[in-house]
Amino acid sequence: MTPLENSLYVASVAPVLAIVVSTVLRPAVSARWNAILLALSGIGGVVAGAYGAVAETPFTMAVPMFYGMTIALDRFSAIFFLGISLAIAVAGLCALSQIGKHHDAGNVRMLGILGGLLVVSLQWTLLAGNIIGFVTAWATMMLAAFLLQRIVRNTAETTGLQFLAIAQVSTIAIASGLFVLSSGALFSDFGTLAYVAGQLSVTNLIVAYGLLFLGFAAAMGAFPFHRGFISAVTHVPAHIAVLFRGGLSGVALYGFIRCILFILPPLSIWYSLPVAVIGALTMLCGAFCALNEKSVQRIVAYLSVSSIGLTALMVAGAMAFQALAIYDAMNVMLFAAFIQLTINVIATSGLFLVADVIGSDLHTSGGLAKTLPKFTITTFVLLFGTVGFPPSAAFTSIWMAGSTFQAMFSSAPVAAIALLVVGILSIFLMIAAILRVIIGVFFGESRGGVDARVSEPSDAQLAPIVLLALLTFVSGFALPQLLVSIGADPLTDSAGTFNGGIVTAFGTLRMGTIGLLVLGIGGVKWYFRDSILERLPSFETIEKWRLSCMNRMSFGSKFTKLWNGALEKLRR
Amino acid sequence: MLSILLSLGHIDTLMWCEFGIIGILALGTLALHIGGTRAHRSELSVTIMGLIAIVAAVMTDNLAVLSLAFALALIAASCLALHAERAANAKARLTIMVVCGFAAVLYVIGAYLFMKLQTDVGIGSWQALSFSGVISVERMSGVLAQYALSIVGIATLASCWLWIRKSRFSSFVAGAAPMVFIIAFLRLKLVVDRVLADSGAWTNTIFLVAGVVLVAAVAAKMMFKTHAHVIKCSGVEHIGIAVFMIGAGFAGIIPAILHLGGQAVAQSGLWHAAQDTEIIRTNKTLKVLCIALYAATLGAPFSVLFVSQLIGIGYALQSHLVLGLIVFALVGVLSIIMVREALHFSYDVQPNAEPMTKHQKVLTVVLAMHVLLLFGVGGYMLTQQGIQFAVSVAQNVAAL
Repeated sequence: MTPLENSLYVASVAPVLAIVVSTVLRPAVSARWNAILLALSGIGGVVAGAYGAVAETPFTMAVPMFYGMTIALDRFSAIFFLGISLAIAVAGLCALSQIGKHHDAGNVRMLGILGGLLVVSLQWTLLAGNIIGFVTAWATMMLAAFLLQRIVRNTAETTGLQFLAIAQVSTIAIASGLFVLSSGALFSDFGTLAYVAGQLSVTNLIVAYGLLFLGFAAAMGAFPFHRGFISAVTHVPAHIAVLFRGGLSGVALYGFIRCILFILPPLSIWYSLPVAVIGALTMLCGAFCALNEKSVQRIVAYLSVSSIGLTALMVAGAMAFQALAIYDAMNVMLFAAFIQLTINVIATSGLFLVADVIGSDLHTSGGLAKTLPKFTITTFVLLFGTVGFPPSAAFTSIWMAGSTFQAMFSSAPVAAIALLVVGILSIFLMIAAILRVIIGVFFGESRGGVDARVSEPSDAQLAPIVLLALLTFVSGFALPQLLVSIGADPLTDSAGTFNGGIVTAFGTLRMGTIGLLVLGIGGVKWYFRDSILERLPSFETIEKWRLSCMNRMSFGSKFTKLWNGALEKLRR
Repeated sequence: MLSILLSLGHIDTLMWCEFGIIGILALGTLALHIGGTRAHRSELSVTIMGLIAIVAAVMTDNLAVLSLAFALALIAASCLALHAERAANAKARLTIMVVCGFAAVLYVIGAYLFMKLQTDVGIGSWQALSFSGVISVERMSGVLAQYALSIVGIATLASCWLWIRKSRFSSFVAGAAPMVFIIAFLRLKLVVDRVLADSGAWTNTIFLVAGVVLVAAVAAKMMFKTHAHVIKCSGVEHIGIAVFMIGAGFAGIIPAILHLGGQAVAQSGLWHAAQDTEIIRTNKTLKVLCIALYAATLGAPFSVLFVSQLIGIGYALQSHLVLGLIVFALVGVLSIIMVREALHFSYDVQPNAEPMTKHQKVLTVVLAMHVLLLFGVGGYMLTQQGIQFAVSVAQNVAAL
């Protein structure tokens, strides 16, 4: 057996073993084994993904017994397999640091079984080589995700049904879209599907594209489905939240890009418009909501929604460049989207763990920087990495996308300016949101005595957070180079020459310089932190500013007033 | 006489499958009926009456026998309503009147066919009403009347569902009856198509519309219902989906039959669960089985209903894009409502640590049997042999 096959077996057998272990052993024992097996599966997956990305020919294997079902790991799916396995490994690591914490919160045994099932289905979604396999894995994944967030709630309330509705919309839309594309060949593989899709009428093509977009956008947590995503992510333990954020969003992005690049026939530039609009709305919505939230966990979740929007914008850019046959730019945008997704998963995973430690909302905390200095620095790195401060790879990703978008200014100035405005506004709001968290939680004085209750986390708890922060910190240098060095370009056969390596190298260089500068200044300022603390406005002052700004900009209430006024006029 | 009434000479693969499912459901029902503490002689007799009606409907290729079997099943259902609601209850009286009214309509259509059909063997004979005998009919009105029988039958079956009461008999009849009667109507449809010498374009349309209407109507109704009512509505929903699949075209017959078989087992299991809600809520094993049963009913992978819905609606989308999307969306809505119902089953009550009673043990075995059947057959149907088997069954039906 080749190293690729070996690592793939490790990656796929480990979560199955995790399910068995959770079923058979006592919860207290199985939780540890479950976490170890998840981490092992993730590491195996990372290795398999790396081997798959550099392999000359795609790895394929027929699934014994099941009709027409094949496993396929080509270069494209291998890159995503790598990224999602990284999220699985991180989840395993997070689970290890949280053993014993969720005994009261839910059924540990079921948490282990369903967590394993979610990982298995995530992997199978990426590996499925035909329609039925993909849809089956997708439906299983959504069901496992729904049950996971239900189990933790452990009540008969119907709040979790919001996520179920999204899961249903997603599954049904994706299944319908693929079925429409298949023209009746339901058991065909993706290669045949691509051929059949090329013969479709325009109407059917539009319907199929619309359904696929709807399905994948719903699973990613894009606007207007973000509420279900937030509700799910904030009600589960941190390691499951990591799987939701990294796994579900990653697989959805993979599915959508695979359909665009490998299955659907070449699309006109107009098809990228809805993706761009939804991406921009998601980005703005996430940033706005993050600024308005009180709970740290929800703020982190909304920041990741904003990142999802940014990723969608990059994918829209890739689609536009594909339509214009500028394949180099398309590849850069796709790489940028992938980097944005991966780094955001890493950073938000760390922040979910941070939120688990703090476990408070902004209005009842404060002053943690004095009592938890190590924890504070780690959190700062993660927070700034999330919004794209150098030297995190999020910066590289934005840099790559931004420098590629420059080409749009001459051909489509209105769209370019609109995107620029949305981007700048979102980033401004996101930075405001994280500054609010920093000042609210870490600086000033305690407002509810929370700082007295929260002690510096144990080494076991702190270790994964520090590791994730380190990953965030070095990702800007390492991730793009890693992608280029494993030979991940070009993504498609028809992509032509790709100069992404040069682009990323330049981006990394500039980013590194700026990053080091920022860090240097930050370090000096931190050394003299007492003077900073004195100069900083208090949390209460910031809240006053924020509320007055929000009241002025409350589009919702203004719209409601206008709507009610119009209705009143109509009645008269 | 028996060989005239029942076509014993022609038992195809599908009939054996139907017998298998009916047998399993009857076994489960009887085991719980005897093992339970609420054994009533009247319920048992009604169950036997229903069993006779259903077996007759499986075996016959005679319209009159089908009509009779249907009427017998309706009478059994009304007896059940009488038993459950007490005769003094005005609602029960109304139910019985309406059910008997439907039975009367079926008789009138049967009698019309009996009197009017002109075949090689003459008017008013049993042979005139056999599926094979009617092939020589040239009069369009006879064929149309025959087809009307199936439509009224489907409507009756669907509406009758909403009056079913909590009972062991319900578990059996709710599972077996729609499967048997709709497969019988499917055979009838194929005969009509052959007589009319067309590809079934207009008969398909009627099935399609009937399917969409049933699913849409039940979705609207189900939103405001809870507990046993949801299970009833779910039964009608699955009838609607199967009818829709049949209407989608010849290839839709394969998933439709699969769906009917799956829904028979799922409905039976759900009704057993509904009978013992309190017991299930306090027992962990039963709770897990019950959740699995609900998951299978709403089409979780790899249940039979998942496979059939995927293939059936996937196929329907090719020829009827809009209707297919509507049905698929409604199925999604209905599954959310079913989950809402399942949540009430599974939370808020602390499991009881006491050892299981005899009845609980029997219930565990019966529900486990249902769950295994649903997921086992679903997995099998995704294999090479499973697909070949499903295709051969459909070809068997078409070769009537």
